[in-house]
Amino acid sequence: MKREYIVVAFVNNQISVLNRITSAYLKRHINIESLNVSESYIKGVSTVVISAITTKETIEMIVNQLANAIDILNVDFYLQEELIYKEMALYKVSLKILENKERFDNVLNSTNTRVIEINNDFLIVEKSGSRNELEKLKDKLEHMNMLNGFSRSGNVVLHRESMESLMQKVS
Amino acid sequence: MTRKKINGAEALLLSLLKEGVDTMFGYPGGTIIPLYDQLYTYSDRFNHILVRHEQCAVHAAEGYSRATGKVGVCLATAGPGATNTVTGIADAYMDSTPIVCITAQVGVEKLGTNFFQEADTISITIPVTKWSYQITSADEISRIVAKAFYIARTGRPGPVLISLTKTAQLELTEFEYSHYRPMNVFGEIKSANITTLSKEAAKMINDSKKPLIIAGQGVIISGAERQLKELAERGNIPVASTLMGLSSIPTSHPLFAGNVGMHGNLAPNMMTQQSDLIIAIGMRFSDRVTGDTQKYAPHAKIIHIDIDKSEFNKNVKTHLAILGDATEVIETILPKIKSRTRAKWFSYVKEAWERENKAVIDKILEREEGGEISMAQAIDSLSKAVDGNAVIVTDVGQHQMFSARYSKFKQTRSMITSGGLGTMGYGLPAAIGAKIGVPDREVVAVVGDGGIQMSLQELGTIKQSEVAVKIVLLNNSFLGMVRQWQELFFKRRYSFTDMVNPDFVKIAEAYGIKAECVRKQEDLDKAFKRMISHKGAYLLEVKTRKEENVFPMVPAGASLDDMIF
Ligand SMILES: Cc1ncc(C[n+]2csc(CCOP(=O)(O)OP(=O)(O)O)c2C)c(N)n1
Repeated sequence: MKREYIVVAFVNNQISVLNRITSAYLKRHINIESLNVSESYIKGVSTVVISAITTKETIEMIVNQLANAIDILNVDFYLQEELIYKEMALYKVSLKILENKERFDNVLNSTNTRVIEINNDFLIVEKSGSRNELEKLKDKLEHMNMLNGFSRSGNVVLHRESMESLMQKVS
Repeated sequence: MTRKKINGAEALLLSLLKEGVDTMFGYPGGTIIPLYDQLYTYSDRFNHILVRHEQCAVHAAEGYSRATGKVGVCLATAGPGATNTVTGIADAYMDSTPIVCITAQVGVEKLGTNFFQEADTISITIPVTKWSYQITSADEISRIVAKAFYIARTGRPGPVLISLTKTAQLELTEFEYSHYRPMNVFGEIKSANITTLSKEAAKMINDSKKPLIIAGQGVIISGAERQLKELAERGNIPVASTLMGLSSIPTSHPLFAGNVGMHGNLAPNMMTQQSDLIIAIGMRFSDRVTGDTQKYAPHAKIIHIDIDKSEFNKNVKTHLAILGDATEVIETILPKIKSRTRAKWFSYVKEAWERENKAVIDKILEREEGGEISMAQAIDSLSKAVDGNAVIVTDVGQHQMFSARYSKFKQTRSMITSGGLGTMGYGLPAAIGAKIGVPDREVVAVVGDGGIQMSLQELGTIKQSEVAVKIVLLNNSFLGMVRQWQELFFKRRYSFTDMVNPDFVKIAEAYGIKAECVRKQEDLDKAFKRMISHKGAYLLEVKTRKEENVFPMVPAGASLDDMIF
């Protein structure tokens, strides 16, 4: 059965590591849905978070291949519910939304969004949450014909594991 | 006091010396001239073999490595030199052959400008290397070379590529060297649980009525030949070999049951299907070994001993996976093994062999005055002429499978062949590398008329470096293996598999290589004797039956039960 698997890898912050990771997906003809690289809390070690829709057998093979790669210190795969898992999105919203206070409260204020800029043409709104939540708001704004632009950050994740056990894994 | 500064090119050579390198295979070009310039100075320390094509530098390094167990080293220039190495690197990757491939790269400030002979070698080779690194400064050289050699030879070995910029070659640096010590556990195996698992393994083995050991190349890489033999003898367990595992146990050993797989022997393939326990050592259950995995070994539990965790449960389901070095794992299991007679099992082996002898082998080896030569007869005759002591290096095709089926091996590291990638053109250069690595052994390249023409230019290397390889060209004027598939599975539609060939004897002679051609069965044995008694390189062309098939055969995707004859 195909579903979304999130691979979290701790890698040496070095040229070519990312290529090696994506090549493991490319080799098996798997499309990467989202990819995020950032510095971890260990110096010189980056966290790579990749989500892709595939089967458990395939993701196991990918992870096993990655686990063998020299500059990948630790790698595992997860389902969404196993991770603390957030994304941020920016919405470019038409000024028309301000015309009706009730609607504004309803759509934006009540959904934990934050207006970060208003200018003469539109307002920029920020929201974080699960992909589902972000998509929901996007659909709503689109439906109201108020969405002029949209961008998502990709996943930011944290293990539920303790810091100590993680440090052990990568050192 | 400041230390003497040397340039990066010299630092690279000094680093290679520190790693014990004395042999390399390469081909110069503009971007790697600084390195070759230093090589000129160090020519008394290195035996550099000038090949005729960079792909063959890699294959030669592979052959060298497979024959000696050492890391093979090859050099090539930037751009086309580097891209020419890709097939060889991919081959080494598939067959876990430790090599370090050093290719030049344009100067740092020119990277990304499509400078003359710039190719993004790192990106091109990522999927086929165990590790790769682009060196941009001379100060990095010793550290990276040390790491490269460590990675190439440790754990499951494989190819490492170093892309050496011109900047790093020319820059000055103070040379300092220390061998690589890993900061974390890559390649190294935590063997804490071997003891527990080996107890379980021993129990499974002792309980088994019909066990079968399948030995892969991991046995040879690990140096576990003696342990393998002891395990078999102590437990009275038959041993089969994969193509890559051949020569890990002498062919004449009473417990040796033959080769498994697509063109393997009937007995070990049928035993796989009957067995209640398969002990797989250093092998990866490739599709060429298993056939249809759904129907593979239906009655057997599987113990899988391997150094690469990613191979467990990948192709077939394993009941007990033991991660570790074959030598260490077998040694831990050994003391707990009890001998059992298993008379029924061995009589089954005997019967299967009698069946294959009757149906295939006796017939094919039967000589007839004036008869056309079978590849099987040629390999059989060769094997007798070298008394099972030669290193057989094959190309890819029917002659490869005949070599695997009909060669006799007395020593380990005697069968060098491209198993995983099946690279035509591998045989001749790999044989050159092997001969350079083990000059005291007889090294025989067995090649087809198709494959030899993929690296024919290496006759020039043989001439220039006076490499005393013997070349046995089995010439059926066909791309035989493809023709066999066309005959069996595509209604004999021989689409572009017939070959119009040159006069190979004349070609060899043009390179100053002694050569002859035989066509009749009765001339075979004497011709092989002449070849072996000749001191230098020699080409023996054997004109063989045009449309001969390698049998038995498990058709691609079929079950091992369905071998065809
Ligand atoms: C580089 C490469 N190209 C194509 C093939 C496909 N192929 C496999 S065996 C074979 C025929 C080999 O013919 P020959 O060298 O004459 O050996 P024979 O099978 O006749 O013994 C071919 C074309 C291959 N393995 N490698």
